[in-house]
Amino acid sequence: MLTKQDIRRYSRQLLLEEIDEEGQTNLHRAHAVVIGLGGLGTLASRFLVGAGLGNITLIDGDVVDVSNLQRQVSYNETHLGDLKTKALSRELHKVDPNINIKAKSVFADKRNLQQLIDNATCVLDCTDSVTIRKDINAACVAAKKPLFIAAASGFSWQAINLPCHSFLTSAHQLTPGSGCTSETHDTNLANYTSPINKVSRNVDNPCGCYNCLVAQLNLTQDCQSQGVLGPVVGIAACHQATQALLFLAKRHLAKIQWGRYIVGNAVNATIQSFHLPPSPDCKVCQ
Amino acid sequence: MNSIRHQSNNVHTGVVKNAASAETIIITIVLNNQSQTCESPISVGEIVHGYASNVEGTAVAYNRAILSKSQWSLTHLNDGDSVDIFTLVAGG
Repeated sequence: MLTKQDIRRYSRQLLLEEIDEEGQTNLHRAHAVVIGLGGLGTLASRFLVGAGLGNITLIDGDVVDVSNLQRQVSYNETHLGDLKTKALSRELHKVDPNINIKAKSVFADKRNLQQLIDNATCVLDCTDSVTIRKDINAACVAAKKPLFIAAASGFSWQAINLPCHSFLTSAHQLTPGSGCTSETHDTNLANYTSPINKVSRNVDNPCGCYNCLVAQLNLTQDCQSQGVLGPVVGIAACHQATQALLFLAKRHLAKIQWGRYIVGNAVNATIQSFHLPPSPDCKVCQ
Repeated sequence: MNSIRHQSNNVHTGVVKNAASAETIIITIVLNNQSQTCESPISVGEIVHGYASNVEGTAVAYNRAILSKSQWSLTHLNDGDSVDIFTLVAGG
């Protein structure tokens, strides 16, 4: 039940049927885990918190450097040398003092990922290397967590929404209690106001995972070696936050595209999308 | 990349005869949104290696679906197929 203050605060998005009152309530109960607090993570987090997300976990072991300020919009000179988790937490609390923020000042890796995403309704991969991206993907596939990936380099930005394995195969595999925790926020994919038997996803056209995309490729296109323009990372982050918000608001009824790899180019002003089918020899999802 | 050429008005999909009088099948594909003709049979892998000098971070979509690298050489193009070649990025 939304309060009068909530209705005023979120009035602009409550007008959207993709959000509305039910979605706003779902957002308040949701928990997003944001891994990587650079150009993607700072902006995506800001939009999630501004939209009324109830719970967010921020994960990054890095500190704010002057070279970050060009594109990592939540930081300024007063944050230099601070842990990104602490700096971003402070800024997000200024947006919404009631948001429940957990700050994990560690670098995500194979050893800690399972625990870090355990209570997530969804995960946002905002990192900057293929190695950790593959680890995040594997952890999300294993834990059946929806994963929203974005990336940018140069003038290119790319993104994909990967569903949890459960609703890749059958909506009915989502059983009450799966992924449920004792925490107050809602991590149980079956426990929402939207009934799961209305899943609109096309289960006859399953999608692959991030590993299906990159397993046999050697990626070198990162921001450090290739450079990147700040707004281009921002485009990717805005897309990523939009997709996550739509999912968190309406969950399985969200009309978002799963398994479509988006390829954008800021110079040519082009956006393409391609289906990512499962790779038959994928060691993660097959 | 000898097997691919830009679409021109006097080159059409079909069977043509080369200098040695051997029949060659020419197909038209759409490569990164541009119409191209090429000699069939030709695989996606041949197209990619002709297009990009360094294929290490290259991804390929065949008829709007991403094709895993292991399938590049096994997938042969037909007339009207589309191939999109792009570089994956991972920065954030």
